[in-house]
Parts: sequence; C-alpha cells; structure tokens
Amino acid sequence: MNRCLWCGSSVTSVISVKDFIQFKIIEHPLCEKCRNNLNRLENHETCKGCSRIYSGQDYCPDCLKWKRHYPSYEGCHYAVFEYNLFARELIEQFKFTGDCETADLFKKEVGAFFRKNMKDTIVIPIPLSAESFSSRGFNQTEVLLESAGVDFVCVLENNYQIGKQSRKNRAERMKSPQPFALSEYHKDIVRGNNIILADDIYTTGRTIYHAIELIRSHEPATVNSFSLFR
Amino acid sequence: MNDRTVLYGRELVLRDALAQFTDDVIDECAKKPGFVSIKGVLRCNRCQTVLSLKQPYPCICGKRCFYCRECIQLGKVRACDELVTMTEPNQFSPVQKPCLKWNGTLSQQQKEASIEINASLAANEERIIWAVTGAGKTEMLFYGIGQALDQGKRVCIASPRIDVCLELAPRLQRVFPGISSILLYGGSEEAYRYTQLVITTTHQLLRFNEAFDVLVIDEIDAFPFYLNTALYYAAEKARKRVSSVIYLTATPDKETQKKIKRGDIKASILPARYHKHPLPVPRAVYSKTTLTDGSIGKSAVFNHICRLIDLKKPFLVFIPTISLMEKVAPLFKTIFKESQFEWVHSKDTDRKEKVMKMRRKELDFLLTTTILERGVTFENIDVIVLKADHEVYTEAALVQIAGRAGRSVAYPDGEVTFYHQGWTRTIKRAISQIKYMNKLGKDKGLLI
Repeated sequence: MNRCLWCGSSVTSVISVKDFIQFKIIEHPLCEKCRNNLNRLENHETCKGCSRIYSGQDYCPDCLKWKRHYPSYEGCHYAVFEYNLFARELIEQFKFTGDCETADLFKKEVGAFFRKNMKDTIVIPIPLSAESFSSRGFNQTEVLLESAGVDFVCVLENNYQIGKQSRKNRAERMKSPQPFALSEYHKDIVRGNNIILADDIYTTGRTIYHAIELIRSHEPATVNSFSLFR
Repeated sequence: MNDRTVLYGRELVLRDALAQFTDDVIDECAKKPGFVSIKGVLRCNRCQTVLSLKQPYPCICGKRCFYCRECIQLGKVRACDELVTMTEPNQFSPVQKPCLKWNGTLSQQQKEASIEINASLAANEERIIWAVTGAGKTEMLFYGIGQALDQGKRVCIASPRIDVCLELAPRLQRVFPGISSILLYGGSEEAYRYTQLVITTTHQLLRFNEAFDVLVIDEIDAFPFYLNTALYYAAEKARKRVSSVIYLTATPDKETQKKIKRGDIKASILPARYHKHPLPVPRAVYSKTTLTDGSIGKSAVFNHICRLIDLKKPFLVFIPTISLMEKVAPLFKTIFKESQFEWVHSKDTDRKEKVMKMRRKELDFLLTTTILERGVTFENIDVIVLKADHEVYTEAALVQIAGRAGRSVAYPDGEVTFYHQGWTRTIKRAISQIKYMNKLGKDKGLLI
C-alpha cells in the first residue's frame, strides 16, 4: 500500500487491464482527493498570453498591459495548474519549509509538458537572489525540472533584489528594477536558439518579463515561458 | 539572545542554534549528527524515522544532502547538520509550598488512583491510567503533579491533540499559579522559554532531550497504530533517564489491554464515571440502507431519528467520511425539513460555531464525522453511529463515541446505537470493553 505524498492517507490505485498488459503501472504520488484539489488549466478556457483562467477575449487585461510595455514580444506563457489555496500550501511546504521531495508530485506533468511542446529548446530556470538561495539551499525551479528529468542551463544570474518578491504587493513588484544578468560563461548560448524560461509561479509577470527582456537583447530565435502554477 | 536556559533539555538543529547563540555557548553543548546509520539504515536522529527520500537534494552546505521529511515541520534536519543540547539542570526559582491551589474534591476511585500516581512518581516508574470517558482524569493528577513541582522536578503534560492542550493549559495554570509554564504547539505565537511546567502536543516532544522528571501523556490511543512507535520514541527521548511516565487512556488498544492484564505495566483502572452511573452500552442494529438514496425513508435509521425528533431529544449522528457526509446532509435537508440541524467535519471553518449552537440547544441534532469523537461534552444526548462497520471506526473510536452519551450528573443516561451492515470484530470488542468496565465498576462497588 502506498501513502499519499501530501496528506499521508493510503492510496489504492486502480490498474486497468490495458495498463497491466503494457507494464504501465504508474502510481500517482497523490491520493485522489489531493489530486482533485489541483486544478489543471488545460481543462479551462485560458488567456492566450499567460494561461490564467480567463474567458471572453484572447488576452486578459494584464497581458494587454504587458503587450503595450513590450510591443514586439510575441511569445507566451504556459502554466500547468491554477495557483489556488491548495497550491499555495504545497509551495509553502516546498519552498519555505524546504521539503524538496514535493517536486516529485509534479514530475509527470512537468515532464510531459517539456517533452511534448518544447523540442529543440533551451530551458533556462529563473535564478533566486543570493539571499534566498543561501537561506534555502536550493532553487525550487531547478529541483522541479530535475525531478521531471528536464535538462536545463543556468544562464541567468540574479544580482540584486531587496526583499523577497512574494512578500511584496503588486504595486511594489511592478516597480522593481531589472535584477537579472547573463552569466559571462554562457553568453553565446542564447543567440539563434529557442529559449523557454521556467519559474515555479507566475503572479504579476514582472519577474518573467524582466528575464524575457534580458534574453531578447541577446537575439534568440524565440522566447517563451513556463511556470508550474498560474 | 544567548539565553542558555533555552537550551536546557532542548534539542536544536545546530544551524538554528548558531543564529541564536555565540560560539562559546555552542561549545558547551552536547552534539550528535543529524542522521545515524543503524544496521545500514539511515535514520533521522531527531525522530528516528527511516529515511524516505529516494535521492539527496541540493543543500545549504553546497553539496547534496538527505533531509528528514517526517519532522520537517519542526525545522529541517539535514544529513550535514548536527543536533545540539544542554543538560537539564532543574534550575527553577523556589516556590511557596504547596504550589497546588485547588480545593475541589476527588471521588473514591479518583482518590485511590491519585495515591497510586503519587507512589509511581516518587518511585520514578511508569503507570497507565485506564479511566472511562468522563471519570475526571485531569483532577486526579493534580496532587501528583503538585508534589513533583514542589520537589523542583520538571513536569510535562503532552497530548496528541491541540484541542486538548488548549483546554488543559489554562486549567493547569489556574491551579498552579506560582509555577512558570508554557503551552507548545505547531503554529503557536509564543516563543519557547524555559519553564518548570510544559504543556505540549506530543509532536513537539521531539524538540526535547532528557528534559523531564515527570511526563504525562494523554490519550495514547488517539493514534493509529503505525504512529505509535514514533510517539513512544519521542516520549523516551524527552524524559530523563530516571523519570516517571504516566499514560492516560480511556480506550487502550488490544496490545495495551493485554499488557495491563498480564501485569507488564502498573495500571490504575477507573471503571466508573464521576457521577457513578454505568456507561451506556451501545445497541448494534443491522441496517442495509445505503443512506444516499430513497431507501433511507423506510429504514430503521429513519424511524429512530423521527422518534428522537418527536421526543425533542437532542442527538449526534456520526458519519464515517466527509464524502458520505456531503451526500447524506442534503438528503437529510429534504427529509427532515422541519428540524434544525447542522453538519460538521474537520475541514469546516464554522465548526466551533456549529458545536456551540448544539451546546446551546438550538439544534435538534448534529451530523458529524469522527472529529467530535473525543473531548466534547453535550448535555443529555443520544448517539447514533451510521455505518459503524466502516474502517475509520476503531475500537477506541467506538468506545469514545459511545462515551459522548450520559456524561452529565443531571442526565446520566443516554442511548447509543450502532447501525451497521456487518457485525465486525471491532464493534464486538468495543461493546465488550464497555461492558467489562461496567462490570468492574459494579464489582468494586463504585456504581450506584
């Protein structure tokens, strides 16, 4: 008997004959109840720019604002799950309590996304500030990608950021200056390639757009972005 | 900062300690590694849980390290880290003796148990108190605890449930006004400080190391079996080498019952309630209704509920799972339109308010999951358990649930009915445990 990686209750998985014959018995690390708490965005109508749940027009008001800000940017943002209350708890446990194994919960979804949509791309995780990194000891995005078996290159450096993004309100976040720089060592890797930037959560988009702005100044073929939660 | 009393009998992760103390204080501490390898198996040195991680993760130290998932809520124990502690010196300011300020009275059986507890505390031995629900366990501990505190011993009272701790702390602070005390639980606002009396959730015991001369553990049966070993380890670690442990339970599991009967552990058994009336013995009734369709209208359950509503007798209905509750509750809303009732479960944010409503007698009945199985008292109620054969109802749970009825002196009777679809061993054992206690009470002449 397996236990749910999140709530610890026992998981009984139903194995279909087809799975059995194909030796495809994959047990999900979450129990059914916890799995239902995660809201997959692909089941909803979403904004074409940032994947948030949005119906009506193609782009949500936030994305339209970003489009005015970066008129020539044509990429878009992909996300897997809605950043709901349950996701918030998971992220709390993962990032702030430091339970890296939480990344295991998403390896299937993250892995599937990159294998399906992102062939011939270079995955670049968003780096943490030095302060966060030294207190946490790991970059959650890198751990996520690694668990999912996705190769990535750490091209970006996070030079300064006073205070954590997650502790700021929207107005403060929108004003924050460009924190990223391209590391000397990897300067040429961007030019002419398809780039996808990866982060754990997309909230206002400020962080991702900073990174996009920087990457675009080094002439990539395309730039898109990905986050686990939106 | 640098207040070394905070380290007395505590066990901290070295990295956290370094943030609070200067190096000379750290040098005085005893240290042990964060993880130990016992017979080739890596275990967390704080909670002794076998390492569950498949791989090491990037760590603060710059390398990759294992960490313990089990006790991570108490702060991450990394394989590269150490645990530090300082020996408990029992350094408390002297108090005016006796420190116990309580003038309640004990019943005959409470008195006897109280004397036995005192003897066990003096002899530094273990004892189990098997007291039926509503026997008044807390009061009979007062003298023993008071005596230990007078002698300058450090005392801890631990319960697996936060609710119990929250209720216990003010009561103890009232009867021991001169004693420094603290209440510890996950999410508490109060920072830890060194006190002679500690009231804590059992989980927080893991943060202590050979700290207590007296350790009282309430509701040892509230755990599913697989968690028990962790609890016992935490208790063993938190008590001093020479110390006394008192276990309290209303419903010991089979293993413990055997131990008591064999005499492996000293036990005080309190079979009678404070009001000297026998425990209500549950009636088990077969009922094949699925509870979720029309068949409920013809069932014995339905008739029973109607009868109680007509009699204006308040009652609790226990339902095994939240998902079943969510199906049954709307159905009840349509069937029992005229009646006032609510439903509660652990995820319910209005839980306290609804329970208060029931207590104020504004409701005809209350649907609940097992969250109300312990610790709550309603006056003059009947109890109905639906699907009593469901696996969530352990023997202990059923005995506890039955113990909700007939608690007050004014209304010592109450009917308890287990509706089931199969006569399980658990139901049988629960009923025979209740009967056994009633017999014991009668034989000892403790019942009216």
